[in-house]
Amino acid sequence: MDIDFRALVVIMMSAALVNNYVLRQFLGVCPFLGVSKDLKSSVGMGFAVMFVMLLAASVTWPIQVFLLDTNDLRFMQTVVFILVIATLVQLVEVILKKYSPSLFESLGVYLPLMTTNCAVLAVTISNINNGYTYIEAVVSALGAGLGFFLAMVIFTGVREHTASADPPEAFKGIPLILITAAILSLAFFGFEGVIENLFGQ
Amino acid sequence: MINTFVKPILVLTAICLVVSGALAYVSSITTPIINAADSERAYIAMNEKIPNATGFETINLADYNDMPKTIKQAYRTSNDVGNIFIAAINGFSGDITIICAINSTGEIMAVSTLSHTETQGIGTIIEQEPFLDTFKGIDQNLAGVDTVTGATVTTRAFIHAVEDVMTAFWIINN
Amino acid sequence: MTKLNILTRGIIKENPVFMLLLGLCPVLAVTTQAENAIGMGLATTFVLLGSNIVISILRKIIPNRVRIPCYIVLIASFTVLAKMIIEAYAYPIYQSLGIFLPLIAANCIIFARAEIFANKNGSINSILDALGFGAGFTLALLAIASIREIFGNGSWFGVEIPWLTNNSAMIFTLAPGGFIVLACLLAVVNKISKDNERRKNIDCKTCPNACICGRT
Repeated sequence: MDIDFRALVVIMMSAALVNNYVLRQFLGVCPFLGVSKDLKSSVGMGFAVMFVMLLAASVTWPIQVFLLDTNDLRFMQTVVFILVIATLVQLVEVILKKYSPSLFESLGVYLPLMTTNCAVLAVTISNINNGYTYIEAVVSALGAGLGFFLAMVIFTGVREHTASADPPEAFKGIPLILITAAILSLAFFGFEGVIENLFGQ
Repeated sequence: MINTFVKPILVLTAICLVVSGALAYVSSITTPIINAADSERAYIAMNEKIPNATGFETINLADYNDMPKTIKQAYRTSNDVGNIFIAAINGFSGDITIICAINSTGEIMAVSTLSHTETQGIGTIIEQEPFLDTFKGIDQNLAGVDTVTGATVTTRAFIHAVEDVMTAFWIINN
Repeated sequence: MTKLNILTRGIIKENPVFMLLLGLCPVLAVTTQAENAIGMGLATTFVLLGSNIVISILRKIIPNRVRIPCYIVLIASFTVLAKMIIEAYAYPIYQSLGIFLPLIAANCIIFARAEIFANKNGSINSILDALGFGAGFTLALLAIASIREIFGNGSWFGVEIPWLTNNSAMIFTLAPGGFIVLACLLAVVNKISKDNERRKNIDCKTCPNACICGRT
């Protein structure tokens, strides 16, 4: 089997930077805003999302291709995927708790959040919509996870600084945080066209 | 024992079964409607592309070797004024389906987007005339199409689809 | 609580978007056009109504231990139902909502209403609750989308507005514009309504969904 590494890099960079899940596509905004208060928890959340995305993408792809497509059950996609994600999250939680209490300590708290994290569901669905191969699907999930992690960590850094800012009364709290997110999102527009210029076409 | 293990599993299974059945039923009703609407849109789009065609005949893609897999449907005009291709390619967030008309000498008559699910604002460039018009009169080399400036995953995919249509045209007309 | 209270609560006092800050992904993503906002709002209301009704009917049958998986299955099914209906009968809306249509299945507002309300109340009240929160969500989407479409595209519901059409600021329809418009609207809400813990300090502790997400 020959693998087109250039295509894989393009998929990865596109998912992580150019079409960043949080800042460009508004996927996973709730944890992005909710868990970005300090660096420790945002790193934990970032890793948890990346891990669950990878796991979910590598499990849902075979389910779609070998189970749903072959049996003409495509309409069940959303139901099956979200159930699979929920089950995986539970399994990982149990396994972590048993075999790696220290890892559970740092990641475990964020795992139950994954079921209602639309970014995870979105990654699995768009892998199928895009007609990716198995490897491409896994790589795109990795890219999406990395992008989420990156956005999360940068945002936390900026947000820690806004704590000392003195905005107008009405803008205190969430409005200021959203403005910060807007500026970060604007910054990510700088990646537009990067792929074409790096890899040609 | 029964109440702590069996009942939860039974209830969950029952709900899953009922729900699957209901969805299968609704799906059996809506799928034909969705498919019919798809081909209706395609037919209207074809007529727009080649107004002087007297009719369209489906080309059986399986008859040709090396057909790019992006090509979904191909038609020839009854009075031999050109071919129509429908190609679907991966954009960023889903398939982009394009329809492309090529005249008998291998030049693009018109191309447009049938459906896409790209990001609003960025992806919608492939619906707009300035972008689509750059393809008019272009032949196999795609000379004159700007593939770099402002290119996104979306436009790149679009141009890829047009290239595949060109390949398909020469496979069929050789 | 009176019936009227249940119905109106979700629209103003506990507006899911402006007061509880829930389900922000679709709020930011599909609000580039007023028409899409209405489409998304109605689709979400439909799913919310369906799940609230079924869950309130089955609330005595569903064992507590598997209630979350049951909610997931039911909500996802209503989402697929909405998706199939919209694809068949309202194709342009299906096109513009894109991936956010199946993602209704992961919308935390619907989970919150299932867990907090439908699980504990009868069908009639659950219907009123769903209608109220659905309307609140739709109106919030419409407000954001109107601002973004009017200034970003110079039109409203696709009708062009003179002068603005030629002087639109595209940033409003792009991703940063979504964040900015929501920020400004929330600042206005901050100004006119009294203090709200969640708006001052958004994190998992103030999230009404903590009971589902975190450990209960």
